[in-house]
Amino acid sequence: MKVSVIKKLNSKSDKSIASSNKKAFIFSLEMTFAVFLVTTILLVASYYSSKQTDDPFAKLQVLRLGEDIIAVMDYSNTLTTFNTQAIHTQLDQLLPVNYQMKITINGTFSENGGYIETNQSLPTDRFIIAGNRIIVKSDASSFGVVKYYMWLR
Amino acid sequence: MFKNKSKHHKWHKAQIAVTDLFIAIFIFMTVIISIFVTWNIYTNRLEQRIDYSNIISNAVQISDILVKTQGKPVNWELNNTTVEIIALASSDRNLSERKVNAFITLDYNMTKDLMNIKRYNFKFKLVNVNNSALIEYGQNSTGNTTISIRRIVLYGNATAFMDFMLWK
Repeated sequence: MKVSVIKKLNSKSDKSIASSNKKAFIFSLEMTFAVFLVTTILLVASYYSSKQTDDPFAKLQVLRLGEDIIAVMDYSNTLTTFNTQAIHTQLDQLLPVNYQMKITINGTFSENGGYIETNQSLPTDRFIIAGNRIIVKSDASSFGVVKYYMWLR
Repeated sequence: MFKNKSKHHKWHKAQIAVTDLFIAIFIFMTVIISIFVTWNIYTNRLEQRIDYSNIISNAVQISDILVKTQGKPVNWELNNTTVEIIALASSDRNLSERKVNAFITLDYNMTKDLMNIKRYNFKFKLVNVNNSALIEYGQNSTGNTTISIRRIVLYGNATAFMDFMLWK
């Protein structure tokens, strides 16, 4: 009788230990899951918050300046001279000091075999604004497609 | 003896529970306070950002209208009192001297009303390529948030820069 009671008690104690071990395992799993969830939320939040700190005005300003420069060069007939030197001279005059710009013109003109480009090279580590404009010589004898690229120095 | 041990054991348990409670309250308060402070910081930042975005979009749109369109009516410069939309171009990015001269004679507050920027102040400036001022109109910035946008235009058959500054 006594032996059977002791055996029963032993088996109960074993079960209790096993159950408490399982509980600990579940708690650890829950904690790992919670930590993972919180870390993910924090990472996502910090990613979006860092993205939001990008100033949209700088990009807008570059975009507007690029459009303006090409339009003014077109209206003052500099682009349709298809002369690289004339384009460089006016570009130096118009371009604010903290910006850089590259212009290429491809068209039906005879100068330089129908292709002109200014001598800046495109950066690989900057945000570049690019655009197109079609230009036609005033006597409609030739036309070209202007591609421009602008970035902060 | 057994009773004494049991009491001692219970007293210990109670003491641990109280410490536990204090730690929990401390952590809870710290979390609540940090959430409250962070919430306030982000609300302020959001308001500033919305304000900043509004100023940017207003400045860009107004400068676009000024340099690209002729206004409404098209010849509003002939009679200042009939102006509905102020714009300065005779053609795209080519400013009309007559429109610019009519613009700078307009009442400052009336101009703000017409541009729909009652909450802000502005400064308009035309400078030549050597950065010498040709025309100035409006108020210099004394505000916390200022957006200055530069447009490149033709004015009197020469290249010029139009600076439009919007501030609050």
